[in-house]
Amino acid sequence: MTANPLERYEVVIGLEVHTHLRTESKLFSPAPVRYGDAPNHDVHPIDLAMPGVLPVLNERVIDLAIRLGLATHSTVNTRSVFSRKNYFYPDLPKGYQISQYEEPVVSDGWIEIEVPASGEAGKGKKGKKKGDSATSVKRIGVTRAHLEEDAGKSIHDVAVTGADGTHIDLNRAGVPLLEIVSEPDLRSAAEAGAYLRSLRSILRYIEVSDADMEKGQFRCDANVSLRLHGSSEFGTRTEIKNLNSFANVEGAIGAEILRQSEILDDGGEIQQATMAYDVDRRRTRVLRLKENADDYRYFDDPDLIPLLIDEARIQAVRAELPELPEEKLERFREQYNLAAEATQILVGSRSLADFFERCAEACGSAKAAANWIARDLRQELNERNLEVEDSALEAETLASLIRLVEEGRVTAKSARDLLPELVERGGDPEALIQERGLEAVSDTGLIDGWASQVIEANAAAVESVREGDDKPLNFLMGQVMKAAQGKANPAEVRKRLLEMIRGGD
Amino acid sequence: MLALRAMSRITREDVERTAELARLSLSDDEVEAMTHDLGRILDHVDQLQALDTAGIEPTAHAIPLATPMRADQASPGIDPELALANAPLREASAFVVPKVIDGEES
Repeated sequence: MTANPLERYEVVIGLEVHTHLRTESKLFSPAPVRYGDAPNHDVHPIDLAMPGVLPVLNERVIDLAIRLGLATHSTVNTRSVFSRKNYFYPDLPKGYQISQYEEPVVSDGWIEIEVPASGEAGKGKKGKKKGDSATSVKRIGVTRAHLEEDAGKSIHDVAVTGADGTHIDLNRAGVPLLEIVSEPDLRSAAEAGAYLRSLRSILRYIEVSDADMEKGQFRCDANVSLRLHGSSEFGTRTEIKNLNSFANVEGAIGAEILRQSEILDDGGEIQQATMAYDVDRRRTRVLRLKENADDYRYFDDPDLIPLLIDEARIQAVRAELPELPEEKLERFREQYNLAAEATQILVGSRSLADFFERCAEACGSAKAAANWIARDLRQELNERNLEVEDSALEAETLASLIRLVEEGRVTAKSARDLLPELVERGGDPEALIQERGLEAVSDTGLIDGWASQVIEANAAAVESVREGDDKPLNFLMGQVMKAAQGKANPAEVRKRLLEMIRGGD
Repeated sequence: MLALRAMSRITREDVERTAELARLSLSDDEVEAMTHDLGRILDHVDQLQALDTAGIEPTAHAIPLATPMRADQASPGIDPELALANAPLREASAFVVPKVIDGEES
């Protein structure tokens, strides 16, 4: 019955992201961090909460936390404290999670997201002059980031467990996490999506986390509330738990906006609650009300003394911090002057950006490299669900293929046809082209033969071209290429067609 | 005076709530006794509060230590048979617990 609820209400969103840190071993135990092993094969007595064990901090996570702090323009706190968060659940053997509460390791930062320029983005600042004019940049506050250990995994799937049991796998128990909490600065599901993509890109750039959502390495809880436009007070919020894909984050927020607006429209009140998102029904449902406000009875963990980080360590990490996405974006704009969309795609992943730079240097044309990578290669990778570094294709290989196209020795179409094979198995493009007989045909005799057939069969189009209309020319070229099985040198085809139709004036 | 303040700080409801959070089942008599004892403990803390600690930085630990740490090196987990040795119920190498409603926590 209601049109768009966002005409009446402003949505206020804050996100909590749990991201697994890229370490060999767990946060407080030497058990390996591995994915896909059989249940309970990667556990140490510390993870099992055996009596008498003591946690010892993994030094690596300190540098990773510092990196995140620096990359999000945050304060890296030289003193932080590990606390116990007490609750009972079968996948939490100790009966508490070691986390940080009052004194987190990182606080008070921000990251930038791209939002549509027309958007209602309140404190959006104008996009950078060279950026895509359709977007502007908005700054999203990062309240804090704290270190904590992951819990084990509860397996409820009846297909695995049978009717009346829950299986517990503690391989994940103790895996190091950073929980990154945003300010309630996000104003739409799309902005929430943009924030997550931006954050994930940063985490991967600085090699703090692989942030693979399918492996549960990057999980999100969303706090959502509505208020009337113009109101300065926040409405009552609900928290949607365990969103494990970008589509689910945006879907769940959309569903929750709808649910809350219907309650408010009917004069009701939102009750503070923890929600789950039902993907199949595209609806949020209440898991539990917060009347029994979560009472985790946090206290400093007596097994762990405060984490002290000295300034020298922070400076050492700063010195080795790689170029961040926003810096790379700026540099690419200055250095390569590519289409805005291609720049965005290339910079979206550090490995893709590196691949592009190596390829551009090797083939001598940034523009051609960008087109091939941002369009053709990315499509091949997406179809196979691969990252560029997982592909057999080397940047130098793609560069030599591009050079062959630029030199007219192979058509772009034939080159594209080789791409899947190169992505899967690699190889030498020049040899492959010879082996397959894919050299571009520039032989005028052959091309003229195909062209005559096409001219004969397409009188109307030929007539238009003769009268000076270039549009049907592309169609005719397509026909010649088809006759040539894609192997004719397109520049030569165009030239011969024009000569034959217009008499080469 | 001290005692009175402490008594009013800890109520039966406080004790019942704390017991519930800790999954402890207390009889009425035990609640009564706990209410009394916890009050006494707070009385004792009040005595400590009487010390003048102005200008003294709070510490969680008595001994000043650098954060003990270990290098990020993995060693294999323990034998899964050992890990599961105390499990009342198991299925292959997973612990089995009574059915938990999906998504309740974590």
